[in-house]
Amino acid sequence: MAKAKIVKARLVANWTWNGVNEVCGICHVHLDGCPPEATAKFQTPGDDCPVVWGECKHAFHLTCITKWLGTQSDSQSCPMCRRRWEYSG
Amino acid sequence: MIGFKQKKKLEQEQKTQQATASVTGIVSGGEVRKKGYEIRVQKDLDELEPKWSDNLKTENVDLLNHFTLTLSPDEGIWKNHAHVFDISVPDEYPIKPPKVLCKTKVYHPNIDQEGHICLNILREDWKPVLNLNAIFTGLHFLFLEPNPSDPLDTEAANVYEKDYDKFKRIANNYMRGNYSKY
Repeated sequence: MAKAKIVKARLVANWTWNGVNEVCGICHVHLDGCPPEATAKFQTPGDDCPVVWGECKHAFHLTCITKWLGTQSDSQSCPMCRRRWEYSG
Repeated sequence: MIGFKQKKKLEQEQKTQQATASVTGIVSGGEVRKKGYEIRVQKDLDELEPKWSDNLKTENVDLLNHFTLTLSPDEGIWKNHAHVFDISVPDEYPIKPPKVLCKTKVYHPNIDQEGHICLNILREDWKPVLNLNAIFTGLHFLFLEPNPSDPLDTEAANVYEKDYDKFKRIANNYMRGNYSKY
């Protein structure tokens, strides 16, 4: 039997954040993608653009929710349900 | 001269770039990078109900940060009277809400004579998941259900609560360009 010799291979992998298939409520870009940033350097989806969950189970891009919480002085609320925002472990 | 293979490769690269841009909002290469709010505003515009988009004028097509909405309430005291709103979107949108001014002089408990508007979602109750559609629906609702308990024009709110007929009369006069309050 003739042996096959692999000269070149192009591998493709698929990934998605666990359990979310929706857009970020703040920037309306898919949670698997990157939020649009005016100043940031080229960002790639994945660990560069993490997704975080609140205790209320709502998910956002980390950069988006950080910007929102930064504008709220006293009570930090979820942009979706207005419940008190606590990062979910 | 570009060979066929090279051309094909170029086309393929462009396609991949476009596909990436539509998923990530990232445009690499020669194109000018859009500001964050522009991408979001474009998505808001795509999701607008026809009754708003048909009456919306983009004042600055390049920057997408200034609009004029002509709103004609379909019910109530101000039925079918065109009210012009000036909408400016800040760079921080949607973290910060758009600024909305009423350019049409109106006698209303929640709109003052300078056109400032008292609408909760434009101020204390703004949250970034809201969009332009929600704001326009909110503005329309102000005409259907004025809220005299949270007034901006206290005098108008008083008349609205104590003498509704007089309020309607003055509001109607305003629509005809007569701004006397009697």
